[in-house]
Amino acid sequence: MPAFQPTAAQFRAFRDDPYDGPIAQVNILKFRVKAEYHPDDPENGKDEPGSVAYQRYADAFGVAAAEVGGQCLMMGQVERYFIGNGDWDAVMVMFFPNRKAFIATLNHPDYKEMSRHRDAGLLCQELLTTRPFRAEGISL
Amino acid sequence: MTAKQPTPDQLRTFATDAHDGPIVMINLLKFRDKAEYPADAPEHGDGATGQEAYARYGAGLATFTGEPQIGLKILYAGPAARFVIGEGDWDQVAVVFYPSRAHFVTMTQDPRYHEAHRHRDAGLDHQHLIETRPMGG
Repeated sequence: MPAFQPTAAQFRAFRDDPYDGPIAQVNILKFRVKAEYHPDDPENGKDEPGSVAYQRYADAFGVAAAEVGGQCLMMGQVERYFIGNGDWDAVMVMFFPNRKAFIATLNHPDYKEMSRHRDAGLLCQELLTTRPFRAEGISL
Repeated sequence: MTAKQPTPDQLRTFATDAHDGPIVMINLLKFRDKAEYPADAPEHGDGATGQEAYARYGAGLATFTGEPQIGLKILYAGPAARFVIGEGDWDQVAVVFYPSRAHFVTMTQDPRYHEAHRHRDAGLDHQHLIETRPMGG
């Protein structure tokens, strides 16, 4: 079943986890072929791929995350499965010093403005929370 | 259907791709509960978990994969806590950079790779390995 948002139970379980150390959010992404903006959005009808719309979200999210010590560790375009099978377009790994910083980014005053690009560009995703034991450029 | 190795088709497609730039391999890993070494392996019956055996594989690779003909760099590694969106069952994620696919292939042909690899065999149940091309920034 393709998913776009956490279920209420998933969000609660994430929020209430007592582990307070650094986390990395592994986003596994599938874009819309064509971005779908609302009729009153300035980008509506520009005939762009979903990946372009999502990148606007990713860029703005990275700026907001940086205010609370978050950063993008890598973003890559999926070329193929070398082992196993799946159908995803991109992978993005975001580091946060703790889960509160991630939640603060979701509650950022600009989030609503940036999330319309996510809505327009993203078809579905998986989001896997991990606890880093090694992250390039970050001492843990 | 879970997978542990590339199919011959997957191997061929990967190796013959003309793209010559850097690649980043996304490993989504599921370990065995208990490591399963062959009866004649020195580690047989040592009680290691699958995760511990896999860590030996990582330690074995770390001894030589920084050499320039391979140039492996771990961008990220961490155990999975939970899915916040979607569903799945993975124990660990590792994000690994190679300067090119030729560097990756060179690693897999190194005799030291084959020595380390038996720990992967013992510890890993199955995985996804996704080839990506890093985007700017």
